[in-house]
Amino acid sequence: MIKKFKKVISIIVCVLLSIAMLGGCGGGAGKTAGDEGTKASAGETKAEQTQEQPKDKFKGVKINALLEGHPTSNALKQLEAEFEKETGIDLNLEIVPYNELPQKALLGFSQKSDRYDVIFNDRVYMPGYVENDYIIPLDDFVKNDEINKYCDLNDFVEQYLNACKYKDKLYGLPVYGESTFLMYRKDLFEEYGIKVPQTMDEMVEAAKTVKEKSNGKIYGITLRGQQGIHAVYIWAGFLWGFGGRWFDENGRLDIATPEAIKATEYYVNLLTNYGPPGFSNFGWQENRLAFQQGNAAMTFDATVNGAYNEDPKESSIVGKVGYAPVPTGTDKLQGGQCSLAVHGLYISKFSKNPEAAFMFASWATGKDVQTKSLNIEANCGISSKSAMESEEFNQKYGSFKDGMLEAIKNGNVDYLPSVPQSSEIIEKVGTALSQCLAGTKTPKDALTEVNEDINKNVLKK
Amino acid sequence: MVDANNAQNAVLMNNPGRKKSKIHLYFLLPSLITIIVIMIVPFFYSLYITLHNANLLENGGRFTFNGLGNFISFFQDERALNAIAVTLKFVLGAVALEALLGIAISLFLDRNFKGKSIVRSILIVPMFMTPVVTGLVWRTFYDPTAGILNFILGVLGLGNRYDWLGNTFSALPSIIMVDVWQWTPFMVLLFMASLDSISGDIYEAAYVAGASEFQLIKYVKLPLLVPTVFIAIVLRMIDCIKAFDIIYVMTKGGPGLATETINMYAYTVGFNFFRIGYATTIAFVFTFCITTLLSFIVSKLLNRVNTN
Repeated sequence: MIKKFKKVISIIVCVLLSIAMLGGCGGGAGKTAGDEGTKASAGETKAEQTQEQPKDKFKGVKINALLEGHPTSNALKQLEAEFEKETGIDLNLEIVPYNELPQKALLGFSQKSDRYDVIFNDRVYMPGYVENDYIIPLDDFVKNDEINKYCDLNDFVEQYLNACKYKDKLYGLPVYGESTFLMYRKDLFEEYGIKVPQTMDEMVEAAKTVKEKSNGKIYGITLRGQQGIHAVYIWAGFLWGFGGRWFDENGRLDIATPEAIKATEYYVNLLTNYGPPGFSNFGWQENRLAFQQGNAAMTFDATVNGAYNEDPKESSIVGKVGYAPVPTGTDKLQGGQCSLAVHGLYISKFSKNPEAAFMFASWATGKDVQTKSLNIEANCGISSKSAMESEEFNQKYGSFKDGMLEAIKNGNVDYLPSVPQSSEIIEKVGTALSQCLAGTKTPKDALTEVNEDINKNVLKK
Repeated sequence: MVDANNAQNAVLMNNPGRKKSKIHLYFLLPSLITIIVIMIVPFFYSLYITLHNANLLENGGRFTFNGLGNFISFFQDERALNAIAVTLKFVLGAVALEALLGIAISLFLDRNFKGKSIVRSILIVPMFMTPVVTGLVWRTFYDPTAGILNFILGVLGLGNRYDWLGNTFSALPSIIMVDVWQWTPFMVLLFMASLDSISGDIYEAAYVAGASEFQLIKYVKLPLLVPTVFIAIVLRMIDCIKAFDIIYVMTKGGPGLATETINMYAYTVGFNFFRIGYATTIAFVFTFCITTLLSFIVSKLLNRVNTN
């Protein structure tokens, strides 16, 4: 009797222990519970869909968006409540640093996860997504009158919209766009008698003059040098500017050419001799801050930096900055030397509520939200033409608006490689550049090696 | 002496009809299931992945069978070789410094002085910091323009423009210093405890024999410290090989490949290139090598220690 009792007790204790253990693993269980909730409410709303007005159509539906750390995202977070009130959709915005977002998005896609409905990402990753069937085309949504109330394709800057198309289908709504231009200190140039550089030779001369005449206190130029996408983004301007290119006609990587080597030698030389210390760790933020704090006389970086330069809360050089196109090193360019970077909102193929996701994407890129975001954050990279014509925009960004628009017009959409293996190419080229900047390899060796490695092992051509 | 097993046998012998209870097996079951689910299953799944060409950016993430192709690539991969070299430099450099500093500091603190327990508590503080926080804080120390290290050097007149983390020569030593800063206290505490356990009789005998302080250290303290030192070194080596947080946060493997350990390389291949198959292979080969090496070292050391 007692023996049986003991047996029963021991089995109960074992079961309790197992439950306690599984409860400990509850973190994972919690997430799936959240997804169940989405499925349940989507099921409810589907029944109401055909009868209700568009306003209540998506009531209670949860949309998760993965956003880059960016002024646009910050503005969206502040306007979240408005959207929820207007459409009833429950928004969950997750903001992640730009250089970690591609990994996070790709991991979700490869697991066919419905964790994120909308992804805010650089268009260079779009071909990879489309080829692997991770995102859906938006053409049908745009034509669907029930959900396209925020969407006006004619309002987008043409180059941005075209950049979001792939094989003639629209896959993303441009939420942010930029180009690159040269920013220089008008006051210092006047003081030292320097003319605005138009060629690469003039630029290095100008940097040298600044360094000499200021006794080394002010650096000639500051540029991003951080290993990875940051260095590559700036170096690409030199690559194209000296007449190089990324790919040849057969799709093979072509960055071991004399032009590319010359561009790299120039970049390394410029930074090593006339750049501030620590440039090898300069990402977009560090470089912007170095220029804003008046440490350097020139920088060449994204057009959005203009907004920060002219913001009295952030910058100590307001009104002292001039804007000019990126210099060139040769007349025989194979493509524009300034970028056309476009980031768009894409809808995941595995989203359970693609239509609600489209409502959010079109709202976030609509002219109202874009105009409002101007007042919330220093955000001049908006993609809506009418917002750019607005008074707020001209008031805040008038001083560099022309330079920016000019750069966008001449922007090179192939500035960065946009094949599915972009991530790996950018990482490997970034590492090669870092070795050049550190002086452990000559540009010729580094580029030849990385070119061969990528062609053999990554592109397999 | 009656211990648990004997007691059970005694009970059995007194009650011939009673079966040896298997309650303990039932209690083992929950943890056994956990181990199988959390460790064994993923282990075999990873092994499965290493035999496939698994790239999340190709074929929509589907796997294609590759046999031993990944392993062959690994042994031909220059970057992997470099990563192994960097890992060895990091581990040997950090552990050697920590051991030497640990011995020196613990010998120095091995005397009774007021505030000994306070010193002990302050020593523990670096160990408690999370690696990510440590890495970030030290990154600001090492910053060329705003960092305190360059500032102090400037005040001392030694120049203040050093780019500690951006220079291929100083990047790895800088990271090693951070690890030494954080974990030398661990060695010190371990050695202090070991020194404390040396019995007073030995000291009396040495005193009677007329030993000087130096002879005391050389002939008494150090030899008795040796087993602890070996164990501490093995423990720290295991931890240093696993180091990822401080390296990722401080340099992400840069500049170039100067601080890319095998761990970082596996991470880059897996989460940047999305070549999951190859990344798993790297992790596998490395784990296998380390396990073999460490088992060998530990068994050799245990033999030596036991015969001593």
